[in-house]
Amino acid sequence: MWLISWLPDSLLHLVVMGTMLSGIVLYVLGIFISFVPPALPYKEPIKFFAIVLLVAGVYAYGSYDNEMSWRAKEADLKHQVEVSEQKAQVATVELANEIARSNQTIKDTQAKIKDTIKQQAAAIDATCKVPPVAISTLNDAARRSKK
Amino acid sequence: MKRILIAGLLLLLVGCAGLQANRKFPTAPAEIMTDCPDLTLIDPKTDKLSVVVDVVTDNYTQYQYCQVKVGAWIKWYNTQKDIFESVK
Repeated sequence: MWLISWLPDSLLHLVVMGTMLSGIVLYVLGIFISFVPPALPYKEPIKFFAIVLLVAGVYAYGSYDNEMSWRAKEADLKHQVEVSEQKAQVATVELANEIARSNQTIKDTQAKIKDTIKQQAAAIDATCKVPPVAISTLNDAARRSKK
Repeated sequence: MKRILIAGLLLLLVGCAGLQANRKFPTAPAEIMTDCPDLTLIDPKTDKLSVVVDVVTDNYTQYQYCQVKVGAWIKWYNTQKDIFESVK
């Protein structure tokens, strides 16, 4: 319950056990009160009050147990979330490193190819002249068509 | 007695408490958070094949960078999905 969730465990436990114990003590007192004649008129009210306390205590104990199980579930969920967030962070860092390695490989390969083109430029250009229509066609293919 | 009654009623005026565990959306690596650039165009005034080959190489490289980026996005999504679903 929302309001109970604000109370500390120990206080809840104390209240619940206190209520139940008071009920038991009062009930026993109600039995032994028969031996004290002047207090005999209070026997039934005391017994009635003791039963009310006992029932309330047992009901509260059930609620307390339920509350505790929810608190345990919440703590477990929080722990799982924490672990998952750490895992997510580690996975992201690992992926970033993987990307950096791949990009470096691409960069190195490109540098080698560019060097080859530079060295072989004369040989490449010697046998072939590119007509303007080939260039414009290639450029058209490279341009992204936008709607 | 009145105060006890009010306190008792207050206790009854409670709703169900939901489980409180705020989850943060994971951040993707900065390397994949950028768009793939447009391909490089060849200078229309050139007639040299070496220039054409050079630009084509640049574009192939650009494609490979984007290939890495898309692959990383797929991997990131699948990993994060598995991690997200592991919390029950």
